[in-house]
Amino acid sequence: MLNTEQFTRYAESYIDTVFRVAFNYIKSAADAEDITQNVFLKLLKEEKPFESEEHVKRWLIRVAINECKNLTKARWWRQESYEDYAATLSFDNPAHSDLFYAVMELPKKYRLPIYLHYYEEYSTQEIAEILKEPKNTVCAQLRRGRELLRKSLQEVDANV
Amino acid sequence: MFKDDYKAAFSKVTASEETYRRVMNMTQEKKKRRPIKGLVFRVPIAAVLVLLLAVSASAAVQNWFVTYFSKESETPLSQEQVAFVEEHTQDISQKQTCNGYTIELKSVLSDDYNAYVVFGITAPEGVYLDRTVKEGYNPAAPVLWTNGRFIETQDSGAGATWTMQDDGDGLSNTHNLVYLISCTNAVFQNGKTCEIHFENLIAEYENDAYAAELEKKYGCEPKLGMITEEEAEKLYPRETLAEGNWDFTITFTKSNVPVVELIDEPVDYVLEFDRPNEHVVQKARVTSIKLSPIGAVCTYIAGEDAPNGIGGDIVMKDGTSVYLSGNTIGSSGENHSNGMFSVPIALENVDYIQFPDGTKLPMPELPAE
Repeated sequence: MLNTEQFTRYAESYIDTVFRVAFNYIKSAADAEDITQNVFLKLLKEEKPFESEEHVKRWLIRVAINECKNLTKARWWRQESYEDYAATLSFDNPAHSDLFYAVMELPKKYRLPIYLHYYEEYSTQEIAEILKEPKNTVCAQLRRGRELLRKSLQEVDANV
Repeated sequence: MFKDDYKAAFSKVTASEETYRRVMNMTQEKKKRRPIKGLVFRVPIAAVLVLLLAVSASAAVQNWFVTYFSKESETPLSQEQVAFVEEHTQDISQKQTCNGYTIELKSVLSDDYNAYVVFGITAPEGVYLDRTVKEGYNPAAPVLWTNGRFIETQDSGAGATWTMQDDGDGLSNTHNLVYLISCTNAVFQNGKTCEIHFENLIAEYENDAYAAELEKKYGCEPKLGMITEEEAEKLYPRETLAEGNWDFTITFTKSNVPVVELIDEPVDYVLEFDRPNEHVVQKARVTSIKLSPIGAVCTYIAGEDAPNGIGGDIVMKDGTSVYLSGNTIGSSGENHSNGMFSVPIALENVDYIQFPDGTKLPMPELPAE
């Protein structure tokens, strides 16, 4: 079990990572906040020793994904709109805003690998291990996600 | 650069101050969770529903393909999808034990060209199949595989891949493996027989500590093809969990899944892809697309270094789409692409195939059943 100092250090380092993973999966800021709390509560209770900080990070991502899946399977869960939350974000330039909305409109199976690759800088092999999917699938998802984003952003440019 | 723009955009997505405060105070407060948005009203109902679902799930026999596709799908499977999968699942239950390891061929879902086969592996107690405890190694579950293979009939044109599946029993010495096989010839027709042979059961790990050493040596993340064979063996050490042979035979009885040939005459389209420092535009020609609810076998002609698969989408009448190349198993030659979909599709709901360059191929009229 982690001591207080360890828990605080990991929480400070990865609270936003966990929130982003949940938000990318579930497209709801309120649910992502709940999931983030649940994940760190589980971290606090986890008795298994961690072998490295990277192990902790991957564990947090994995548990966040599982929490998202459990939530979406619950009969009472309804997808909420993310746009109210998105309207509160202040992007540095319109291109970042366009990219954000384009990514959030992608199917979930592309959003998460794209986040893990381009933000957290995991390799396709590492993403395959985290998501427990074949590496070929991850490669195809990244490629397909980029194709869809390119098309979507070209349409945005054409409409400007 | 895309990565920089992506990071700049998503750096704005952060947990709220309230969540930050609650998490930081967890070590001080009693571990009592206070949800934010009215979740307290949902919890008692959800607890009852989860209990009811657990009871009903334990009473029913688990369909491994419903479980598989449910995981792959972004939304719950429709009743029609579940009904299709259940109708075409062939339960087999062949078990063999060798050197303390039992492998069970549980069930198969197939059409004439594509087959999903679920195996259950039971190791002796104390052997962890769902996580590794080797110090310095990547603690993700080992990747299980075998030297065994689908015994290819002549000219099957098979491509195959394994994927691991949690068998949900909570035991660390058991795990499922799902074998996806896709052929360019109709080897899984009803009445036909195929053999699957396991030779040794192997776990492959990733040596995190050594990966860090290689990264220092090469100045970048080590990749196969860049590092020596010796380094690759040390980076991804393999352990033979069990030596032995396990043989299974499947005679297909539920492969009567409709398969439709979409191409009357070859269709030309334009293929685009990236090489390092170059965007390539290439002509390609597709001469066959055999489409079933679970996969597509495509025959096409493209340049040597073109990516596997035609790409493009199966566009449904409701406007949704499924990636045609699916989980591309890979080419069996220069011009075949076998793909198995993440979820079954209803052929009667397919509107057209759209190639990457926008070329549309209408769905032909389906033959009467």
